[in-house]
Amino acid sequence: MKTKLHLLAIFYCSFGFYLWIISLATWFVLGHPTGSNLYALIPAMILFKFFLQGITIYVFRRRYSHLFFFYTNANLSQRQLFISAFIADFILFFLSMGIIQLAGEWI
Amino acid sequence: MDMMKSRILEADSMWLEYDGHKILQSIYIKMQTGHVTGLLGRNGTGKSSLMRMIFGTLRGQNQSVRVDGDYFSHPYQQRGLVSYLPQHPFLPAGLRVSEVCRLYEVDFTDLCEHFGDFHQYRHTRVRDLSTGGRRLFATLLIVMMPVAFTLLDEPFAALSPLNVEQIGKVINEQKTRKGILISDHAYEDVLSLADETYLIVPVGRSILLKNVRIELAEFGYI
Repeated sequence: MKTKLHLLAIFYCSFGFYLWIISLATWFVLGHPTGSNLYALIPAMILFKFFLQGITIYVFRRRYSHLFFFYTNANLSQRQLFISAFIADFILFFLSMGIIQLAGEWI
Repeated sequence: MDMMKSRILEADSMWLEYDGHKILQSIYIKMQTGHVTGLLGRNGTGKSSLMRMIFGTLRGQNQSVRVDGDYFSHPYQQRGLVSYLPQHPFLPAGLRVSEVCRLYEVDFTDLCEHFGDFHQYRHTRVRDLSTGGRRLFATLLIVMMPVAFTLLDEPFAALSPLNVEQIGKVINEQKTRKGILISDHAYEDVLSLADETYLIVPVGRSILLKNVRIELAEFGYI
C-alpha cells in the first residue's frame, strides 16, 4: 500500500504542480476574489479544473504514453492513476482556496 | 526448481486489427516457468503489440490470456504475475536508481552482484545515466522483478556485446523461478537463450519452430 501511494504521488507530482499553478493564476487573473465573491467563483473554477484535467489526460496519452509502463509494471492502471491524481488535485485546490479565504478574513 | 510448481501462461485467440488492417490473428503462445521463450518476426509483424496484449495494456478485437487455466483480462494488474520491458524508455527521469529498485522490489545489492559498476549509481538520478546505462538498468529491473512471467521487448537494443552476454547470464539465472518471453532482432542472442521459439509470420500467425534455423530460413526470416 505504501509503495502504491508513493507511485501515485510520483505520478501526480509529474504534472500536479502545473495544474495547481494554472488554477491559482486563473483565480488571480479573475481579480483574486475572497469572501462571498470567492464562493461565487468556485463552481466555475471546478469546471475549469475538469477542463484542465481533460487536457492533461489528452497530452499524457498522446505524448507520454510510454511512461505509463513504469506504473503498469507496478500493477497500476491508467484509470487508477488519473482518478487518484485528480482527487489529490481537487483536495489541494480546495485547501488552497480555504487558506486564501481564511487569510482574506484575517486581513 | 524441481520443488517449485511449474506455472503456465497461455495466450491464444489474439486478434488485432487497425482500421481493418489485420496485425495479429490465430496466435498461440505458451510460456512456462523455468523456460525462456523466443519470439521472432520481421518488422511490423506485431511482436510488440502481442506482448502488450499479453501484458494487458493493449486490447485487441479478441484475446485470451490464461495462467494455469485461469483467465486474466488485465494480467498486469495482478501482483507478482507479469512484468514487461517496452522498447522505449519508461522510467521517470527524476527518480534515483535505488528508489526505483525499492519501488519494484528489486534488491539493489543483488543487481550490483551482476553489474558491479552500478554500485556508484545508487544515488544517481535516472536522467543522469547514459542511454545505454538507462537501458541496462531498465532491463535488469524488469528481469529481476519478483514476478512469475517476464516479457522483454528488444532487451539487447543499445547494449554493448559484453552487457548482452551478462544480461544473458541474468536471464538464465532468473528463469529458474519465472517464465521469460524475449523478442529481439539480435536473433542469435535470442536463440542462444531460448528453450523454444515462436515465429510470427504474415499475416499475424504464430508458428512454434521445431527445426529452428531451417524453418527461419524457409519462412524468409534469415
